[in-house]
Amino acid sequence: MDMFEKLKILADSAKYDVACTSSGVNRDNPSDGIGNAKACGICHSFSADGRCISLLKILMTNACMYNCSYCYNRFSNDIPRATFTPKELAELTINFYRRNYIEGLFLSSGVIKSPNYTTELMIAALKILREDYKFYGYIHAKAIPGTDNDLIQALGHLCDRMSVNIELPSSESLIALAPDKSKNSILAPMGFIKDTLTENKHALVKYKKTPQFVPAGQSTQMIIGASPETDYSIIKLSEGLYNKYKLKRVFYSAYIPVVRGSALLPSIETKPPLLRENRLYQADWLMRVYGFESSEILDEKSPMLNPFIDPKCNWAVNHPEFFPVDINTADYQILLRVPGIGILSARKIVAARKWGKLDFMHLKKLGVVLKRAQYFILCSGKRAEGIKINESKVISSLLSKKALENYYGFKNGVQIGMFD
Amino acid sequence: MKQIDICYKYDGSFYGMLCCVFESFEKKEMPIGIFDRGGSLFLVKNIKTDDIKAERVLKGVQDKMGIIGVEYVRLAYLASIKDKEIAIIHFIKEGLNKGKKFIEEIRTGFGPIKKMVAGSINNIFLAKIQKGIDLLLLEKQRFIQFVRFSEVYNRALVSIIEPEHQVLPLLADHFVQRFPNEQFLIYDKTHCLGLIYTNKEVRIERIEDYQMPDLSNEEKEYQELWKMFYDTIAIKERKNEKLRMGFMPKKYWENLTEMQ
Ligand code: SF4
Repeated sequence: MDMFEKLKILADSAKYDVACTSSGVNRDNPSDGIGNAKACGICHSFSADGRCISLLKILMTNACMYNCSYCYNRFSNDIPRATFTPKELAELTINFYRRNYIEGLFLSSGVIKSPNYTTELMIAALKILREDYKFYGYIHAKAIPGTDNDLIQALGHLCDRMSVNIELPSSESLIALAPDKSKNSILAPMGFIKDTLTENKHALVKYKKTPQFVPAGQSTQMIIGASPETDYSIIKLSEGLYNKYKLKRVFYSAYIPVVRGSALLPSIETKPPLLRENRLYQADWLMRVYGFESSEILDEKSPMLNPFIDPKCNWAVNHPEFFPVDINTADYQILLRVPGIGILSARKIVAARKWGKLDFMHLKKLGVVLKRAQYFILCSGKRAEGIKINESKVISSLLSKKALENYYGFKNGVQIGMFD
Repeated sequence: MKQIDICYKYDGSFYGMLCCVFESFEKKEMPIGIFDRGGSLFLVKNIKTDDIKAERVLKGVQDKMGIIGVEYVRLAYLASIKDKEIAIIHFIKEGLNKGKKFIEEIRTGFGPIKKMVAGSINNIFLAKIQKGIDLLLLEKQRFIQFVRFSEVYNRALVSIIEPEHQVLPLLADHFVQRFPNEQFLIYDKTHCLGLIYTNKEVRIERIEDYQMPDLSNEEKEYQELWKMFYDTIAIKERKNEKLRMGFMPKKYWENLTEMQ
């Protein structure tokens, strides 16, 4: 099989993994090799779906011996199979990198022969890159559940980020849809990576020469919409993962049906729930950056994110007791909770008010979206001129006309093609 | 400074431009225009490039505004700004008056917050310079992403770009640090300049009308592989043209291998 065929098969099989960031680590090139890594991450292109292409996202092999029903590469699926040799993969990576196509490699794999064997193949490829080519660029590698710890450790010393994909957000769904995996087989490597990371950090403080272990941390991915979990249970799970396993990121991937006629999975005509995925990212962002807790965003009684309003606005609308906040005195963390004020404008407010009291005109210049924010703020004790506050006014300022109708529909339990 | 109906003409270099600044300050005059190529309807005064005068201007800027002031002048020179040279004279004049605080003010837009609300940052030229520099730096980022090399002449890497601003001096560090053992040329077709890195040395040279040499079969093959990867990785159920165009504006497509 020629390179063209192989790459086509193995890129096609890898594309459902959404993580493609190259961020989180700075590494210089001491001038004896190729490449470096930039903590900010660099996107080199954008595919037709608008997603960033930063890494050569590829599988070592798609000849998987497992049969996870949601997965395109499951062994019962009738698709062409291919496997890279470590050398082929390393060469391809370097040649793409030299041409400035990519920031590095994102290597995942189906399970061939055994998890250990698969991981050994990956290690061999990364060794060629790091040792023979002296490649200093970014590498993200998948830890395959079921692999022995010493192999995971070896892999971790060769890459910048590792991820173990949870894929299904509950053990029930795992049992139903991924019979070869279990909650435990996924969480075990995650825990091992976390512990090794912590040890490595301590060791690095003591001995500068200690080889680094996944300096950009670990992440995971969950598939949204293949199984029946609510948004509440998903973000609670994410919150737990952030706290317990110190994950850098949880990625959410709207399920794209790849199986015909399965009783357990959405039908092949189902559109991927992109809006729901987007809302989950927003909720995740609130937890990671804005300091929200999952229980502030959702609860048992209303366990789904309202698709028609972003979760921050939704929180604000449901917490009138928190507002209004005064722009000239409120803490940064409090400013962040105001709809229409983002990270940048909150920072600007804090910096600008040192120069003098801010009024509504100033806020506009600082990038605050007043149309939204005006209902929630005071400037030196005063409301915006002529403003009347009642719930329906506030909500309609936050939403488009169409979204507005749907918003009330959702609240009242009418599901009008909710996640179409 | 008195307004005069005369144009300055200089050689287009950074030092040449600084000599125009020198002339304007020394004669206490503000020319009606400053240009480097072509002719003018107005009377033209030729400004000779003199390193000593140029460096005196730089020293003055550094003494009053600090090193960041010098950096600003350099970036403004690289940016495509309408009436750039005149704007730079205004910038330096303001800066010499106000000193270090000045850069902070125009950079953050916080300082003159009252004026900011009243209309513009009191001087339209300063706003132009800030905007020009912002766009220049944005374009630099874009080319860190979108430069595409082809391997030619037996392992040398060549890329052709068409930037609006003179980004080459800003790209040099990034690509040299990334590819210390390669030899490469990034050719700026808009300004006819080449960033050349060979034998671990980097320089920028004027090159008229450079053309990409014929590609080897191996090179064509890698380009095909990349294009195919690019097409394959997109998920068709998620197609979103608007999003793509926002991140990767069409004007860059012409020189992007994957968009051919
Ligand atoms: S182990 Fe991975 S590649 Fe194999 S079927 Fe399951 S999800 Fe797919």
